[in-house]
Amino acid sequence: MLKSLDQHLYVLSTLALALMIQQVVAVEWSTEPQAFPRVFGIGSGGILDEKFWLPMLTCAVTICALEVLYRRTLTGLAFLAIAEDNFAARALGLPERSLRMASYALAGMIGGLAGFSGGQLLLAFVANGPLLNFYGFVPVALGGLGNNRGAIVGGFALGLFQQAANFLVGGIFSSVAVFMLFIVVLLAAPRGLFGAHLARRV
Amino acid sequence: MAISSESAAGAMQEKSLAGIGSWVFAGPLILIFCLALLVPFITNDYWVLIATRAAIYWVLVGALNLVIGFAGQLAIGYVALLTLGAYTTSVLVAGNVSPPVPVFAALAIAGVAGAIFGVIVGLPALRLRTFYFAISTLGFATIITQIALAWQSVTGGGIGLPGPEMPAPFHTHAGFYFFCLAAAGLITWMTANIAYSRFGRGLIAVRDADVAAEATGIRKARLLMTIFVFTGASAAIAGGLFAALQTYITPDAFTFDLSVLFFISILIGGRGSILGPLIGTVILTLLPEFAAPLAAWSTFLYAVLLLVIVLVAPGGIAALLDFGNRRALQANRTIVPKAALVGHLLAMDKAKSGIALRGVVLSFLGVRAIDGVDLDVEAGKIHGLIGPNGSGKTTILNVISGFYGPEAGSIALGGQALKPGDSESRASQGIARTFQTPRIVGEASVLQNVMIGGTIQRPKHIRRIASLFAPASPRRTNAAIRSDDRIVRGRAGKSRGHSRGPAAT
Repeated sequence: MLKSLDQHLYVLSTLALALMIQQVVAVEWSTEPQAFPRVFGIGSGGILDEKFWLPMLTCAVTICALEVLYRRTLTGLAFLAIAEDNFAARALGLPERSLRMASYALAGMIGGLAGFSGGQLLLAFVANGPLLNFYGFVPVALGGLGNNRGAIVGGFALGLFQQAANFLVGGIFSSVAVFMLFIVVLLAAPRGLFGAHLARRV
Repeated sequence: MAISSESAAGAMQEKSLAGIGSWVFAGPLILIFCLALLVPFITNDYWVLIATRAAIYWVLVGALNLVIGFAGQLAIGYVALLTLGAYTTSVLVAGNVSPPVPVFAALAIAGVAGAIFGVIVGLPALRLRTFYFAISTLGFATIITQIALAWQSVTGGGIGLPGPEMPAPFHTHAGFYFFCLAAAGLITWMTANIAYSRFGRGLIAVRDADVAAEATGIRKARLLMTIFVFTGASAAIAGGLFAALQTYITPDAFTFDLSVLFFISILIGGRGSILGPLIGTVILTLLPEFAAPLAAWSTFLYAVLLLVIVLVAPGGIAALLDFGNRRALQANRTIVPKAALVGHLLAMDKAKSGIALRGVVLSFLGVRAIDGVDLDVEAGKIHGLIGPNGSGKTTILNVISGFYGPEAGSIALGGQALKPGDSESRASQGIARTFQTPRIVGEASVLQNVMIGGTIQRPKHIRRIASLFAPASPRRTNAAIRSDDRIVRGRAGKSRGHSRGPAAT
């Protein structure tokens, strides 16, 4: 299926599938927030509660695993090659299609893991979708697309900024502040704060 | 030389390329409009309401079509501007922040607010590509809804507030319907004027071949921002009308499903068409009415429709209806070069000044690609630039055509310094370039591709705003550009091929 698609059609088919899944979830399990079961049941109450340390632990493990994958294994390098220059990568005999499939599967897995570990804190709630989409994307854009370390720094910066804005100007306007920051940073540093240099286009 | 082979069919096709003013293009739109005029006379109030909704959606979708269908920007969060317009109009009419404002003044203010926020939503489009821009518009949509919920003193929070009441004669169902239909007709006319003038060709060029667009003098940022202003204003006015239709608005009325409807209407309609998205809007507005038990699944249906279109007919409804371009080309076509015309063209546009490079230096990280180049290109002579691979030939061309700004040194045309790194200004100074790999607008015909070169030939009296309302001026400009092009083709109508597919880059 993926073979015949242009770049923009890729995006659209992804969007279509996402909407379908979202709708099925909404209709099957209602749009009300649902409680999420405890996974391990270790540490109850206080700041040592599972719902706080589990997401952090998952996040740290994911970061380390991705760093190892991209820097130490041939498969990770192959992913990078496909992303960087798909024609050159194919000329070297890399199986583009299966690598793309694998990268999608990996991204899906990490997404699922994130939902699983964050579930208890955020509740299972359909309306989380757009907000998570946006807050998941902002740090990536701020840090520089395709730059894991930049995304981590961007994520921390965004979290701190948002909480500070929450404290200073109140709940409503904190998301407005985040959006303004996002636009201002993009206009000042189009490639993100740690983004790669502009590739040769001509 | 085969000069007299222009057939009647060829002439017809030639005309339809001009777009506006051609019955092939305008006929179906006028037919739909006439049918829509009949709705209140042959059906009941319920269907009039549905038709009103379709007309209001089209006010938004018609304008958004320029952003998505022509400029290729995946703006999925446009419900945000609908919300903004609906709340601005309702709040102003209700007098929550100021003395109550008359409905039409409130609509106009909403339009201005929409234009401003349209630019804010659109700004990331200059930096972000495809999916990333889509997400930033989505973020804006989320935030607008949150503000509507939280700013209770003005918006009424979750309880909402009443929509504006239209004055007579637009207070009846039919009256309001005709008002919305007039707005929809106006939007169609205005977008057609943009889409089929050099602005529309410029948008398509930005979408499909942005580097080549720069080289032909299309100013991407300015063009996109103009379109975002127009779309923002239209979307906000649609929002005001939507609030009047709903009679009472709450944040729940502006779900993401609406955004999906707008977005998918355009995609199933087909990119670069006006008729297709119009049909798409009507279909998607009607769909839940015919599938009432499936109302909860409407987004699912839209998504399935989108997936089917993407996989089966990526060109959308417009491509299915585009009978003209699917006709097989005449067999044994030959392309006969006309050497005599080259001389004619060269005589028309004689180069009067040379290009001079002095001490130009440019390096990429550790590689010094050009190191103090002095070069004189003399007027009226053909020069060759030769050298081994990696010696910096292309880099020099890129510096001259403004794609790279040199670290040191200067470039001058006829003694006047050229602004370094400003590729969009070169075409108007008379510098043209080609590329190592052809950069062609794959979805446009050969003639349209050639006409993109006419972007910089703007008559002085045409301003952007004027072109919204004056179909005559784009038509005249188009005719002028086409006749230039015909000089090249010797009025033979020989090369009127539509290059779908093979020319795509």
